[in-house]
Amino acid sequence: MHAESASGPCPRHEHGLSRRLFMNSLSIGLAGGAGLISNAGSAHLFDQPGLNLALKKRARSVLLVWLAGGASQFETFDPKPGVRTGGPFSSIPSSIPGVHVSELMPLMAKRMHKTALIRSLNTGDSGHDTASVLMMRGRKDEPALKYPDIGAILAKELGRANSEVPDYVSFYSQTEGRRFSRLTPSFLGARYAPMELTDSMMPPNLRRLEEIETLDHHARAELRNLMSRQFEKGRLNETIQSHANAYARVHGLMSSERLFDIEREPTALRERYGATLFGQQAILSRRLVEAGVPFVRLGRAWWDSHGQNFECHQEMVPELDRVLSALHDDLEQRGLLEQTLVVVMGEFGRTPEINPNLGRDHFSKAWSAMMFGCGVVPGAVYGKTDALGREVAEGEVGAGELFATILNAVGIPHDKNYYVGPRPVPLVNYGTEPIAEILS
Amino acid sequence: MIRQLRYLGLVGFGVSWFLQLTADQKLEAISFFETNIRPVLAESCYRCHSEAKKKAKGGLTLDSAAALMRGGESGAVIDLSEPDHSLLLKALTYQDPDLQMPPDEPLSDKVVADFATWIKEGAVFPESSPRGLETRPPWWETIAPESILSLSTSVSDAIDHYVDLGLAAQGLQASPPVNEAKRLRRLSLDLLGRPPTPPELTEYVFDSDLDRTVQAVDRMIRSTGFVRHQTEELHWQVSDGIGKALRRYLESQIKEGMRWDRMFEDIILANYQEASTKGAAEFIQQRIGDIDRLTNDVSVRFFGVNISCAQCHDHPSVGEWTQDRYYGMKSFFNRTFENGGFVGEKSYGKVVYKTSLGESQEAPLQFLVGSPIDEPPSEAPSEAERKEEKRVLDQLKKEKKPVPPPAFSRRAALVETGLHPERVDYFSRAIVNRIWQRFMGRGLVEPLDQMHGDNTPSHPALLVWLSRYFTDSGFDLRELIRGLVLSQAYQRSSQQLGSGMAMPESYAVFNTRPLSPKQYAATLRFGSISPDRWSHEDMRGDNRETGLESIVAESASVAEWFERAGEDFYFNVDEALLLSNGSEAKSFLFRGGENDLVTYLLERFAIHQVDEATREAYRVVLNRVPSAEERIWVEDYLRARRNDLKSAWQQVIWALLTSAENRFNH
Repeated sequence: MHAESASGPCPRHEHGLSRRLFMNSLSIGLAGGAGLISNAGSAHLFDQPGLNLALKKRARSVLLVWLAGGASQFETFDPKPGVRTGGPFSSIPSSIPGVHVSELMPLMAKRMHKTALIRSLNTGDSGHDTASVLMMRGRKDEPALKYPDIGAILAKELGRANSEVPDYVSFYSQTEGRRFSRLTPSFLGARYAPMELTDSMMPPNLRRLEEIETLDHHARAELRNLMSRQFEKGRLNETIQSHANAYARVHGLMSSERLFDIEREPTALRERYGATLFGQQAILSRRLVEAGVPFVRLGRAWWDSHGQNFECHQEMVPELDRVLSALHDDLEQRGLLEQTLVVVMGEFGRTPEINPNLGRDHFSKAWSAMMFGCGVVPGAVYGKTDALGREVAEGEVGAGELFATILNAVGIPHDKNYYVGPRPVPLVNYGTEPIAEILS
Repeated sequence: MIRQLRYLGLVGFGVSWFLQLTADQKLEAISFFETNIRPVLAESCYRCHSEAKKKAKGGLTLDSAAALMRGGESGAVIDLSEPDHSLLLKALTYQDPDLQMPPDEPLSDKVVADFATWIKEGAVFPESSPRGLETRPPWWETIAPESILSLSTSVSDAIDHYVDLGLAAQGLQASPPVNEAKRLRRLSLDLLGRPPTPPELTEYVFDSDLDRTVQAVDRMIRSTGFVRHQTEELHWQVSDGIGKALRRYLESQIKEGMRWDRMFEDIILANYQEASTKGAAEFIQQRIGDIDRLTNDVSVRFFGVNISCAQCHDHPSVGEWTQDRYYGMKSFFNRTFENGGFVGEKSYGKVVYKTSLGESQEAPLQFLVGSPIDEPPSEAPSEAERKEEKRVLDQLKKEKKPVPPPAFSRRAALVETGLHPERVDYFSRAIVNRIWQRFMGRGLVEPLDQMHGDNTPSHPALLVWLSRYFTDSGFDLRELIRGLVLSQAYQRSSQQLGSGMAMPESYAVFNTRPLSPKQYAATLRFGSISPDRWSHEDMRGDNRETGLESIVAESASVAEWFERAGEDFYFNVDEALLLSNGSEAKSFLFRGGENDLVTYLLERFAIHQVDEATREAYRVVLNRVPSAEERIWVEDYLRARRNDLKSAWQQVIWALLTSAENRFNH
């Protein structure tokens, strides 16, 4: 039996609790049903402190900042100044004693004690397409089974059936294209597919057509419900129910239109995020997690610097630094860090070797990811790479471990099973464990 | 979810609470038992406490829920009211020096804790081991020969015979037959992929011929619409709707006679010699980069077995699916390769795999049921032969010619062995089950890709009869479909009357299911057209078929708006949003002009004729007469908006088109 966890901003042992609730419900069922058991058997289950508090299930969210194309760890979170692989930039001390980051990230440097850093990813795949799939799904697909991506899983686990906000929103930028996203709910079904924002900051079909008045729009939906409810009589069937649910969500989602309107944010705050598309999408992402959207994927492309790596990073890292720090402060000030996990990663990092075009190529053997917020230990630095950044020297972890860590941070046990037909499909491959050191 | 429970044959102690759990919780409880408890029982307890022992120690056996409940000489070993005081836990924790189990040494703390959790959660104990501790004969060997009707029985009679037996055995009453209008709508959607037109409806409903349904079905089966819709469905079944050449091939086969064995043969052989079968090669060609996928797709689509887990280990719950069977199946494809866009096959090559124990093993060439196939010996080519082979292949590539098949083709061996009279049941059962699932809303065996000996169908004798009949008929899909839709089981009402809920596999009611994207798109099109449209010149006489197909074609691109339903399908909100707010949806549903339903209703009926107009709207969209209540709803709605009737009618028609009744086949 788990103790009630009080450590960290976001208790992640709620599944221990729900297990108790589960057992409790069994006992009651037994008492009421077969008459096999007295209430005495279950009384102690109510004795756990904090039960009522934990019953108020808190909405949690994950915001994935996806560095499409693969950002360089050398020019961000794992600098190696002065060695031949290090490149021209220097490093600066961060707010964690003894830990340096690239000089291109002065704002995040001051906030590193609030984040958890992983510097020892070895993910074994250096193709954009396949590595994107690997990182989004936490493992490679089987020939006959595609795994759902992290967003679909979180939408299912953290979303609510009749939610008035979308469960899963994904922004991707023009340069990345959907080609490499490969987001899929797979066997979880279209209910958990992402709402993809492509060429507009506003999802399609949220706005009422002008030809129909608001009142009529509602009345028409009422008439539709009335007619459909007739049909549902004597046809108990979950698929029919889901059809009704889909229509029931329409007006809630339409009212979330204002959510997507960043004009409502104060100018000063918008300036802090920066006037770039990425910055504006970041502020929108914050609005979404604030409203309870369980998963948002915020893409920034295109980091694939086979040539001119340093110019590319000199331009893009400061923007990333600005957006991440603004996002961090904004979430913190609103008290949202306790229920929001921000994850920063791409499909891989970049090579230590600098090629003749002054570029760095694809590299998955030793790279970094960063998180902050819900469920992770502030100031934790996990793993390290060798002096030249060519290999992991300590604490090697792969895509599966990272996936398991994200799930655990928001209270989802990674060893949970889904079922595809009679076959149990665990959320991560058997034997994959989360990185305990960075989980609070 | 219920399906899986049935499959596991689950019986728990606290059946009553068990039934109150959500499906996920139930599966979690079973999974907990199978992962943490059963293996320990088998390894540490059954040496002394099993029914397999002549004399179990202490009179205690631990093989089943009942045995645990009964206990041994010392009484019940599990106490659900006070789990912590269970005798079993006392023994495992070594508290009492006189009662310590297992006797040699205590189990680890983790295992003991697992037992404590398991008991506290109700000691869920599935009735039979999914690991198949003992091998039972496959279900098809347990059917009494005398229960199989003669093959000269008609398909529909045979279906009703077996389904009615099932209903009687369960004390269930079948729903009454569906009324004429709904019957025609159902048939038209399933056979032609579109709803009936108002004139078709009138013709059928007022036809006094007793054989009108048979005639209507036969008319539909002969039509172009049948070929179109069945091509669409079969293409999904074979290849998830992927591959245009394959689709054209299937279409030509359906036109010619719809023989399933021919389609299987052409697809597996990838024969380029005849123009008519070329397209079939696309199936293999699209999977050629991944032989594991090819192996599994062929197994799933043609034999109803998903053996992909056996790639890494013997299947955990299906005794007959061992690793060597998987690699045996793979061996049929390992010599297959691509040369210049053509599928070819070499005359040599073996499959070597690592067993789960880490040993290397050469796979025998064998079909799912075992017994390796004799084949001429083959040797890896010498360096010189390899060079020559490459030269020939390059030449063929240059000339854009297919690779001639080898003297002994492994893929041809698969066709031969799969259709061999001794093994053909696998092939026939799989397709019969799929077709049944499509028309009856639920497979006789579910899931469709788990057709193994331990997964007993809801109606075993029926599936045996149908597959034998199907083989005997020359694998004629058209006759099978015809028989299915003419059965009473197919023609029942989809509405459950009274309080109880019959399980879908009882076929006591017609199983309601979502329309496919193409069916729904066509339904939206047909439901928004003026009834006058059907009396135009292009809808009369010999033009009729072409005219109807042109209307269906108008909806083809709209099908992309919708998701195709798989098992346990849940609707995404995108469809509801698109139909509610999308400008493209509005312009598709309300085109205006003379062929538009709303225009027709406005022009034909005055405001005092609102009741007649409502009846007409229901006839066009839902193919039925509205109830008194429904007429009042519509009338009230329109009267409240009488100053803008056009918009009001659009809203009413929108509500009908998007209603659940119009989104499902029922």
